Amino acid sequence: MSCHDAREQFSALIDDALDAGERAALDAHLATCADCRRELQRFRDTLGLVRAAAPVHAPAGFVDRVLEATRPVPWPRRLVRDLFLPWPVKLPMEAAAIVLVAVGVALVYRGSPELEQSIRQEPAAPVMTQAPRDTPPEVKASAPARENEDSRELYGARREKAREQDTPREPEKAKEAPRAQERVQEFAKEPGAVSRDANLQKAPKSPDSQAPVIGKLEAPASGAERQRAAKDNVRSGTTQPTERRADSLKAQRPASAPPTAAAPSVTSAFVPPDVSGQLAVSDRELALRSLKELAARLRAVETRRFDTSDGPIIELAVPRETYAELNSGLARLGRWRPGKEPSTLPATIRVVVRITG
Amino acid sequence: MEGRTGDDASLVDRLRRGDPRAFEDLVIAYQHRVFGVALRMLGNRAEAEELAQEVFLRVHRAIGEFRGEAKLSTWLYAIASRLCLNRLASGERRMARHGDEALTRLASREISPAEEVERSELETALHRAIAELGEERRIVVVLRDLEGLSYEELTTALEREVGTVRSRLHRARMDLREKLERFLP
Repeated sequence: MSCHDAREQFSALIDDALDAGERAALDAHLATCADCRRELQRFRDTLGLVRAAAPVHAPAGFVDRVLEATRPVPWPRRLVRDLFLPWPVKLPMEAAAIVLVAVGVALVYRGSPELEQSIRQEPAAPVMTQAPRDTPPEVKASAPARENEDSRELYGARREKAREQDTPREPEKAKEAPRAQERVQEFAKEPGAVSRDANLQKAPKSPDSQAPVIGKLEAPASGAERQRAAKDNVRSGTTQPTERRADSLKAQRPASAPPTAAAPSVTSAFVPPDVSGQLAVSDRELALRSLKELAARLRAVETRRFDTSDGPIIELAVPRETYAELNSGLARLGRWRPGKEPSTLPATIRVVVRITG
Repeated sequence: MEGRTGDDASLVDRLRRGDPRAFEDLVIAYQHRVFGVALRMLGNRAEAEELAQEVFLRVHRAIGEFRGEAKLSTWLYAIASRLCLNRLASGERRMARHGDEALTRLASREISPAEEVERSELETALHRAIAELGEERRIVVVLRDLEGLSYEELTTALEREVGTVRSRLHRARMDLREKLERFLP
C-alpha cells in the first residue's frame, strides 16, 4: 500500500468504516511509515477541532413562530392573501393588465383621426337643422333624459364603427347599440343622405333621431366646457367613452345651457339643412370675413352660427338664384366639399358651412 | 442531546393522531439541530431561521406520509439538507453569491466585531473553513462531524451512495485539515 492510498482511508479509519481486510492493510502500512502515522494524527486533531465547534442555538421565540405559522389562517385573511398573493401569479397578471390597457389606449389614439373624420363627414353632424323657433318649448322639456341615453348609445356605436376598420368587432358591443349601429352604417353607405337623415328625424317618437345632434352638438355649453369635453373624447379609452360623454352632457346641460330659443337645442321637430358641407381653409378668420362678404353680395342671410372646438359652423339662407355662385365663391375661399343636394332646390336654400382648418 | 433521548416513535404516533402538543414537542426537540444545519449551510441567521421554519412546516404538512422506515431525525435532516442545497443552487438567495469568497464573507458577517474579539481565533477560522467548503462537501461534514449522523443516516438523508458520501467526507476533511493546520499541535 502506498502512502497516498493509506491516507485516502484515514476518514474511513476514523469513522470505523473499513472492513477487516482494508483495516489490516492500513495498519500494516502505518506500522512501517512514520510520515503517515504523523499525518493520521494531524487528521485526527483536525476532526477534533471541528467536532469541538460551539453548538448553534435557534433564536429565541423560534418555536412560537413556527407554531404560529402552522395555525390555520382565518378565512378572511386567507381570502385577502389569495387575492394579493402569490406574487408569481399576481405579477404576471398585473403586467398583462397593464399591457392590455396600453394596447387599448394605443388603439384608441390611433383610431382617433379616423373617428374624427368619420364624424365630420356624416351629413347629420352639422345638425344646423332648424332654428329653435320652430320647436315647441314643451317638447324640449322632456328631451334631456332621452338625449343622454341616446347620446350614449349613438356615441358608442360611432366608436364601434370607426374601430371596425382596424379591429374585429366584438359581438357584445355590437349588441349594445344595434339600432345606432344600423343607423351609422346607413350613414356610411350614403354620406350625403340628407333626406334619410330627415326621415329619421321625422320618425314618430324616435329619440334616436336626435342622437346625432347631441353627439355633435355639445356646443351649447360654454367654450371651456366644450374644450374639456373634446379632451375627454380624445383621452377616454375604449372602456368608458360613452358614459363619460353622457355624464359630461348631463353636467353641462342643466347648468350652462338650458334649452332656450337662442340655443341650438335638440328637438323632435328639426329639419335638416338643404345642403351641408365642409370648408377647409388655412385661415379661419379670413375665411369668416370673406364668407360674410360673399353672403352679403349674394343676398344670403346668416341665420345661425356656432363656434365649436373644430371650427365655426354657419347656416346661411341663400336665394336659389345665387346658390350656384355661393358654391363657386366657397370653392375659392378654400376646399369646399358640399354634401348631396336635394333634387329640387327650394326658393331659399339653407346651407350649412362647417369651416375647418 | 435533546431530542435524541426522546422516544421518536411515540412522538410520531402522537403526531399522526393529531395530538396538538406533539408538533410543539417536535419543534422544541429538533429546533437547534435543524437551525444549526441551516445556519452552517447558508451562513446567515435570518435566512437560516426562515429555512428552518420551512422545514418544520413541511414536516407538519407531511407527517402523514412519514412511513417510519428511517429515524424521525434523519427525515428532518433530509428535508433540511434538500432545502439548503436547493436554495444554494437556485437564485433564491437574497444575497448574491460569488463563490467561496462570498461564503467567507457570509461567515464573517455572522458575528459582530465585539463577538469577533470574544470568539477565539480558532472558532472564527473553523467557521470560515467550513463555510469555504463546497456545498456538497459542506453538508456531509456538517451532518457527520457536527450533527453526528452515521454513514447509513447520511446516505439516507442525502440520497447518495455510501461510496459517494465517504469520498466527499474525506475530501472535506482534507480541506479542513489544510485550512486549520496552523491550529494543530
